[in-house]
Amino acid sequence: MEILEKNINNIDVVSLSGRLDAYSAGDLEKKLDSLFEAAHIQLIINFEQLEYISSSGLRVLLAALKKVKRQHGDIKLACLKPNVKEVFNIAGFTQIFNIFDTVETASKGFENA
Amino acid sequence: MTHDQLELNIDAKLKNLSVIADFISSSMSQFGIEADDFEVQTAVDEACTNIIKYAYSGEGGIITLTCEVRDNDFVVTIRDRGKPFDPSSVPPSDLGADLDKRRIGGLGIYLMRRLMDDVSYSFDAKKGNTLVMRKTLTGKKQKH
Repeated sequence: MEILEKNINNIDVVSLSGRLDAYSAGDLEKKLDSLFEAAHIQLIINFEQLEYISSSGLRVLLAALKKVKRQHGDIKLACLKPNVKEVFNIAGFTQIFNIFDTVETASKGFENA
Repeated sequence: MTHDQLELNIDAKLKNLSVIADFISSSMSQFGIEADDFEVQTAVDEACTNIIKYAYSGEGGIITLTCEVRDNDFVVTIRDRGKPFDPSSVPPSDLGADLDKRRIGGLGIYLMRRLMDDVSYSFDAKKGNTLVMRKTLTGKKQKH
């Protein structure tokens, strides 16, 4: 899995590509923790290039959301492929995360908050 | 050419999860199954993750996967020689709970059960752990 990150108007957009499984979940956890330590707690995770997610990936996302919510931040998700979206649905994660069709609409979600 | 059974023996390492996913995908295509492979891939990935992390406690070993078509089912059998690990012994995930109350565990096994039609576990002192996962191919199997 590759992780790219850029900051746009104080929102960090973290773009994932490849497979988010038990092997790569630790890399994402480290990346997100480094952002939280730098007080970056307004995040959009862009799933456009992410082909696969397992429960290990879901677990990292859930733990990260709990961390930022405690500091009144948020994580919004964008561009989930149908298979990835189905895993979110089955796991009940669509009720926990705000999910948007594009990064642009996700960032508007922060403006309106 | 059709195959009765396809087998993969692989080191129980997390980096091999993508190799396992590719094996499932290529097995389904060799059996002429047109169904989307991601459900079986995900279920097998979750099972193998548990074997690597819990049955072998991250210390390594061999995982043997076999794929076959029985009647109208695609059947994946996963064997390991780690500690006995029965997925059904894990408490179910609390899916309805809100963010604060949501526990982090149990999700992988829940996904396995939801994505496959049947998951059964057995332990034998000689053979080790055996997990058999079945996916019914209603209308999805291509005739040869």
